[in-house]
Amino acid sequence: MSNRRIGVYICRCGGHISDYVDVDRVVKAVRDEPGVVVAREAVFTCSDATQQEMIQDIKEQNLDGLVVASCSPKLHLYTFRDVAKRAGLNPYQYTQVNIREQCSWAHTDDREGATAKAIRLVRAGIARTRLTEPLQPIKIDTVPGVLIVGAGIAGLRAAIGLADIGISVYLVERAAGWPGWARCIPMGRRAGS
Amino acid sequence: MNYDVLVLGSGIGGMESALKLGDMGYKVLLVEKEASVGGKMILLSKVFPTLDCASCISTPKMAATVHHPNIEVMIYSEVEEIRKLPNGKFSVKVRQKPTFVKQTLCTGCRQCEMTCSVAVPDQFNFDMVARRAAYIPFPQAVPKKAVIEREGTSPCSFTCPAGIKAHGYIALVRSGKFREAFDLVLENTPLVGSLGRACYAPCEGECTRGSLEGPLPIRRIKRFIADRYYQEHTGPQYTPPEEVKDKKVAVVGAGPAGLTAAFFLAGKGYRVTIFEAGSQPGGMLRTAIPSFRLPKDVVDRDIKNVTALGVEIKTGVKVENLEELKKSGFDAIFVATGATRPKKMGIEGEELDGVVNSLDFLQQVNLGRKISFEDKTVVVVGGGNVAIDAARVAVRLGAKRVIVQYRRTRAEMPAHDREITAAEREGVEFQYLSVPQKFTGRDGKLIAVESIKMELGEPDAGGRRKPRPVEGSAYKVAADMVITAVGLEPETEAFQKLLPINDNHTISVDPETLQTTVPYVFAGGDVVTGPSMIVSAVAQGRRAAFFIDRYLKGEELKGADFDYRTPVVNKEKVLVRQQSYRTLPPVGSGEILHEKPRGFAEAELPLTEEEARYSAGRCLDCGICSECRQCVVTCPAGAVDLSMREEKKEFLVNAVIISTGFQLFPAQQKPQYGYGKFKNVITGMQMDRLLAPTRPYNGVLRPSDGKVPESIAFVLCTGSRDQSVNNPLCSRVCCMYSVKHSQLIMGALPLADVTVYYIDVRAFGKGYEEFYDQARAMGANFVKGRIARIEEKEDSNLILYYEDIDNGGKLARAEHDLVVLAVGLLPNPQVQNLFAAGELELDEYLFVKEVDEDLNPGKTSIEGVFVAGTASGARDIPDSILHAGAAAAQAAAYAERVRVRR
Repeated sequence: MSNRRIGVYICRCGGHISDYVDVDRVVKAVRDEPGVVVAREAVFTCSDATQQEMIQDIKEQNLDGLVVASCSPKLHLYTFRDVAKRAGLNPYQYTQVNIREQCSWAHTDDREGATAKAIRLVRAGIARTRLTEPLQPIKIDTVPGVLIVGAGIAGLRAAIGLADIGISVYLVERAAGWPGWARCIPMGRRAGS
Repeated sequence: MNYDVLVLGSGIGGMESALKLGDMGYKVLLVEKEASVGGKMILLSKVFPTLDCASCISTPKMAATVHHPNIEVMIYSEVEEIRKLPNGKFSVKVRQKPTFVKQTLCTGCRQCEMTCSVAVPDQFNFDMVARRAAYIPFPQAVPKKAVIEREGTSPCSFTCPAGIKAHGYIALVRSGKFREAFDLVLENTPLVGSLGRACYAPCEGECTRGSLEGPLPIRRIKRFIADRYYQEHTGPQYTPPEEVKDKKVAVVGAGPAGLTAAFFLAGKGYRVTIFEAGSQPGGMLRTAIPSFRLPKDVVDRDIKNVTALGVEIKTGVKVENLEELKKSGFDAIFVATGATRPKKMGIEGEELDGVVNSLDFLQQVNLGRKISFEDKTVVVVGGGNVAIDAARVAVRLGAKRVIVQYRRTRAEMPAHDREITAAEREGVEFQYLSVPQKFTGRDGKLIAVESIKMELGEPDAGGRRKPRPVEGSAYKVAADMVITAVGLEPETEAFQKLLPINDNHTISVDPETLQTTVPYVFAGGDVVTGPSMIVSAVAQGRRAAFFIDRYLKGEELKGADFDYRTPVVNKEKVLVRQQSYRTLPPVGSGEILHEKPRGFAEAELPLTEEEARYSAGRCLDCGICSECRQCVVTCPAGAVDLSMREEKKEFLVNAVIISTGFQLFPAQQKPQYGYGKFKNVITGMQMDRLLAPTRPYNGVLRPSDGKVPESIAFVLCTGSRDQSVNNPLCSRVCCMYSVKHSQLIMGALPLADVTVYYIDVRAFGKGYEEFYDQARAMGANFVKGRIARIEEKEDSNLILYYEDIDNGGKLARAEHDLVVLAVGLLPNPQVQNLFAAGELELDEYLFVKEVDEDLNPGKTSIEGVFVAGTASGARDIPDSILHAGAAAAQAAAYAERVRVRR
């Protein structure tokens, strides 16, 4: 048994997941996992309404872990870390489980198999969450400076933009003379400019 | 409030700029005109060429924007003016439109949406389906809060003197909520049944359907509501309020004004007593209006609505001394004694036996005296509604001949046209331009009326042409009876020593509060206005109750907010919005009119339930929200507040980013393609909705018959690269979004054929050419040739005529069952008007001009104002985001420069 209090949310993704994965079955399968106190499904877990619901659950049920099974962490890891943060939960006690790109979309021909796989992925995510500890980001003073490699038109423009907002820039160019391709173009897009 | 940067518009570009700036630590004000952030991208199905889900990419951005600690988002708001100050900063005026839902309380549960009685075209589904007036824009909306769209007050509700929410009860009847409809009318008057029969219905005169097939029978629908309710409930379902106030109010007169005032005061907990001089309450409803127009049991039932609140009515008591009444224990008095004294004609013979005034005549008939006019000739003098009522009653009493003499023509007659027509149909004779000069008698009894013909001269002060006698035109009519109906006036002599009385015998009051010069005495109804309509008297009664309540609570009377209504809607705009209204002819008038009717059976048939609902269904929902108040009752959070007003706010910002996006080419401008006329011709944006995760039909169906299309055509460059619609520009996204549609359709409908008609396919970005090749490989058929015109077949399939360039350029035709017009992107030039004239330059195509596109993309003609995304030209999503980032960087730099300036 676990003394953790974990909330699990399974996303339908408006059909992207629920067309191929039996989401209700996934919820049923994981709700009695050790440490799970809340298990729900939602049409879009990323929608504002569901985010609010999660925040409410975290606060009211005093959750110490959060699992969202939806899409790739590339899309929503930060979204849900932010949800955790706003609810007063340490964002590193959140785990994103990908049951879309790596499950429903990959197994559109096999609902049974996709559902079984989703259940295992979510269980793994819950297991990982049970082991999480609150982490604190370390703050280190840095010099607000940027190194720009290449002093072509893009590098130059970026350097000006950064300098304008007060960030020091180190611009490195390997060529000796006038750098970049701009010098090779006789005229700009309008004659004379 | 001050911000570093103002961002206008929360599409993908606006959100990107705001987020970039917020992350850098700048305070951002983001203003969005719709009720959710997200712009157009959130409405798309997928994005090209990756086929990523558009809402999956947008929703996190939307949530991040709204929750960002450095970004303040104002939804449902419009920037009205941006003024550049000498120190380089900007003063900004923003109008926050009222959402009518307290945003902090709304939980997004959608109960209001489900109970809302109005449906209008859903702009977020590009008018393919309807949405409610109370709505959350779309499922992924951020913030997910409801708003109630009120374009203004509907003309019917706006016109009603008593403020009865005509549109509201019409909408409720349409949804079969008859009890709720009754309760809604009851919010403004207890006299639901009487008004449903005897009101002259100014609302119907203003009905927008009036300019089409004819107005809705609004009054008869109200009668239907009352009849239905009264059949089911012989008495009101409420009891006097539990909390009784210790103050007492006396109402003098139990007519419409007095009854209405008593109803509202008693509802607030005051102890109210009505003193009525007559033997029964009801005033003119009881005595003047004949029972074939208003049966007296309906009046009785209406009065029960008042007495059920604990109002005591003392009949047969004529109040003449108001001071004494006050001393007997009343804290305030409302005088509503009406206009009860008939005016004299002042001609010879008025005292003869056989000459009566209309009011006495109608009263006697109404109170049940048996009178027979068998074989008699009756002359009625006058042209008002009372004259017509008297004439129609005379016909019913068996008169051989009934003649109405009126001194002007039918056109000038003050009586309601409906009444005049009814009288004509019942056999009443009209002698226009006629005035009696003398009633002649024999042995004190009337035998004839001597009249003279008139002609109309110059208009008088009131604009009506003054009649003058025609010399030598006198004529004589033998008559047994004369009924005079030349006007009524209030009888106010008894109040003279306490209250100021006007020359026309009306009581002088403050028109706003109805208070007289004696603070505890208020007056209203005909005794103040002179003879008018029932509904005007009801209006006065309601007003008096409101201000008497304030008076008794010791509150300031002047300037109190009574009966606020939003401005009336523009009918032209309503007709444009409801383009798809069908022709729905009105139901018949329901009046049983024939020559010489006898007896006093009601002359007008009630509407059947079917007729009532059909008629209510003809409503065009002019104001959008009908004010039916169902959402107010339903909302579990108590968040709905229909009294909310718009707010104007001013901000100081250091820099501005314009990301107001584009508008789609209105496809109606290519009439040869039949958009708006042929149901199965849709736009690319509509196809995107059909394919989106939150799609309206949960599948790709064609609009005409809901059939799954088998052969779909795409017409590229609709409204782009087309001099005939004045847009030579390429819209940059249509080729690729049509390729995207082709791929998605072939996935969703494997059996469908897809044909794309193009000029040339522009697939210029990274992975775009491959995306196009992939569509071809999947089986999409690309045909080079511009579509000349489209015709509709009987089965709603479409014939496309085109130049088949690849096969020798001959004219070809093809049949498809769904056509998608790949409409282009047009500028939104209105943004220019936010700035001083000529300040914000537009390019020759009316996009916002970028003055230094090569080195400083996004820089506009105003230093400190930047443009992001499609506001400056057609762009796809990645380019818009890139552009928005560039604008953000420059806005930050500018904000830094002016930050410290004063």
